[in-house]
Amino acid sequence: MNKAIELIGLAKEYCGKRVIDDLSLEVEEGEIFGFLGPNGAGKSTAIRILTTLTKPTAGRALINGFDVAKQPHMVKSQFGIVQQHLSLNRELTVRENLELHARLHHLSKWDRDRRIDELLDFVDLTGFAHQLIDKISGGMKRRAMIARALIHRPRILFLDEPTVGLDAQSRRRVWDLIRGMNTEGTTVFLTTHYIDEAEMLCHRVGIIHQGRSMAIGSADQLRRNLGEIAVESKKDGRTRYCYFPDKETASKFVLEMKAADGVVMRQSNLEDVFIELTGRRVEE
Amino acid sequence: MSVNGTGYLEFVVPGIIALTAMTTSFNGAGTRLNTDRLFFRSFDECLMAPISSLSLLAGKAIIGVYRGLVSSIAFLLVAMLIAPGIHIGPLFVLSLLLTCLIFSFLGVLAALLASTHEDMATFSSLILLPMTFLGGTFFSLSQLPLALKMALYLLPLTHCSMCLRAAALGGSFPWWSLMGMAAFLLAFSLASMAVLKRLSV
Amino acid sequence: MDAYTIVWSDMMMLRRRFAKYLLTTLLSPLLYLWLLDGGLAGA
Repeated sequence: MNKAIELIGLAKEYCGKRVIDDLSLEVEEGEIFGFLGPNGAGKSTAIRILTTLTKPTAGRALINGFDVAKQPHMVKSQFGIVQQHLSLNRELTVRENLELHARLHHLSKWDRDRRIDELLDFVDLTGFAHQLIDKISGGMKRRAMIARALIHRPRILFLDEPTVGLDAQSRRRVWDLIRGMNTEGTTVFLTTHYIDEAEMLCHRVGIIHQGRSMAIGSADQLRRNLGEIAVESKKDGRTRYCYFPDKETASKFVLEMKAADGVVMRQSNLEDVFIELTGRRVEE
Repeated sequence: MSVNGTGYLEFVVPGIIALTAMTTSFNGAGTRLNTDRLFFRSFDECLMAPISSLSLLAGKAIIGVYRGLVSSIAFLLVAMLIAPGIHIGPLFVLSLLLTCLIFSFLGVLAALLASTHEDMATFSSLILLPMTFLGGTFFSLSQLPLALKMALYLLPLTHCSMCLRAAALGGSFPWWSLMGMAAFLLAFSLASMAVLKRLSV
Repeated sequence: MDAYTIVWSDMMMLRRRFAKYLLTTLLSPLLYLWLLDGGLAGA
């Protein structure tokens, strides 16, 4: 397997403050990789570095083997990006926005028209092609951004908080689009602060906290490392969490517990992993 | 009333053209880019596209140039009805084009330096507004004391109005001012290039 | 060529409100002209 993305000891300082600190990770081609962390953990900065908008203070970042700091021009044609905020031109129509992007990526006229039709169909916006961006809903805008990011057939797609601010239906639709393009071979690198998104969508998850990578692996792996079974017990109004590799050890522990009420035994989840690693809840 | 032997109306029309070209080019390039950067936030998309920063800057500046040309030509058409003595030749076109280019690049530079919309407005009122009245648009520099004249030569608009006026009214053409315009263009374009490079740090 | 693409996107935008654009940018030069012409002719 080839490495689509490689970070080696990456660091970034803003005004003497480290927002990313010694970050190393690899994303394989064809993977959906998710960066999970609270707001301000350094996820967006990592994406800004990977997409050549910001230069790293130390370390290296490679996209398909190209160094983002030294070969930005090569890197730029390797990826597509869906930013967290709306970055479409609001005074242009959906189609014009896609066309602008296709032109910037030097697609021929024939290829451009065909590709735009294809992607409008993929994201279900064919009927809205000639609407101004200002006139369509939030979910549609996000889908238009996804279509735009895919125009030049990038092998890697970055999505920064792809479903933030979307309703449940739009959210599912975006997930389906992400899975769809991944099946067609696109490597997906996304950031999220939604645990369920990381758990349901990503093959592997990296937990990032205060600019540092705390753990990397599939949701199942991360859960197993912590313990498959979680036991919650309440004492003096606070909930205590303990983790066990299997049901037997967990049951034994529960039986030996004295004077505790509200004991719950359940499967551990990614949120447990997150809290144990960072000492805080993800959406705090 | 006449200035240097020409009717005041004929005298002032080239000045107003310089002024129109300045404001519309500056706003066309600058305000547009500022909105793209800070409000629409679509400028990042251009930065992430595989195009050179030179093309990017040139594109953003040419937006100002064509908007400036559209407005000044439209005004010129109206003005020629009132002041038919205006002559339009190659030197006039060249001066107009340079005027638009200078202020488009100044707009791009301002937009790249600005970190808020307010910065842009401050830039306009501190730099463009004084130039509107001092840049030789409504008066002739020839009667001014030397020190004041020298100070006004530091404003790009002074050279623009002088060139446009000379070309339109058929006086001796101030080639030194044309060189001055070229120098301002070079300075503003190089500065915006340098600022763009610094943005990605 | 890339520069043209950027200009093209602005032209697409301006196309939609060309009349409004022309009106707003012509307003101030025409006012200057009227003021300077009329004001001095009257004096």
